[in-house]
Amino acid sequence: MFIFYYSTCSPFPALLAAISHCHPAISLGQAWAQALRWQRANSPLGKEALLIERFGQTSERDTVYLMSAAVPQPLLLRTLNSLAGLMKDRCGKELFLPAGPLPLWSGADGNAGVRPKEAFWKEIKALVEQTRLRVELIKKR
Amino acid sequence: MIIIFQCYGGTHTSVAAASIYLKRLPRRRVPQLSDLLALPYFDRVDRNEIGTLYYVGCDRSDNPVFVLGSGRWGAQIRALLTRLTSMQQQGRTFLLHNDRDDAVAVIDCFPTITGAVRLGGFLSRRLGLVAIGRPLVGLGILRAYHRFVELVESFEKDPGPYLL
Repeated sequence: MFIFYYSTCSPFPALLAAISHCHPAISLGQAWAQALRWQRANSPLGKEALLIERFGQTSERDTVYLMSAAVPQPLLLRTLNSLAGLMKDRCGKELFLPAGPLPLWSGADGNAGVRPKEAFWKEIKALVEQTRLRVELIKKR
Repeated sequence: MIIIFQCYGGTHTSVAAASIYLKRLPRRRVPQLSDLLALPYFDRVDRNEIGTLYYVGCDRSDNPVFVLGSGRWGAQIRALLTRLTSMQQQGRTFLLHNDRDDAVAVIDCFPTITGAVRLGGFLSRRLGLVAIGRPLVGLGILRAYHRFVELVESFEKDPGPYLL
């Protein structure tokens, strides 16, 4: 299964979610540092830039993708969910899962903004856990 | 092939164009306002539903036809869908093109929009003034009806430029 983490205008929240999903035991500090490194190496220039990148694989062999663009999360998630439903109808199985919504990142990329890092990380972890449960449920069907 | 008519709200111009394509509306004459207003999804998709794909029927080749609202992010959504579909072409197993019939065409209906459609849509969908907004949108579409027919016929003639 393909799991998509999408965040608006900055890949940073999606990146943290992807890291957390692929490395469940990782600490906030390690995840933050890894996200910064990844972003420096891969992130496109500008908030409007479109990013779709394969991030890695989970221990359950699901593939995690990162997406970022200027499109608001609810709108894009509705489109992706519609597509996922369509593909399920056509293929008979659920191929991909758009995960979200992720919390908005108020600070500059990689720098702590108004939202404290710990609170932000907790929200990310909760969303990742929800996504894991959804994947588990889909696989049980 | 999956055919998607895309516009701002997914409820006016895309519905009209899709209905012409599906032969629910005539091509050689301008339909009655009542025909337009009676179409499924016409001026009936709310702002908080923008982004949802709505199935509107199948064409003669049994291709499913959808309407999609993308707000002012139509180009970005198309770019994103293009990237998603091209990922399989790069050798990664991925969605959409699961067999050779699963191409996706997106027809951008934004160029057909007129001032009356924009104003009517705003009154009906944003302000909730349906009694004024809905007929105004309808009249705006009927006044520019030839543009819709041209768009649909251009797609039918050569779907190539519309394929993702």
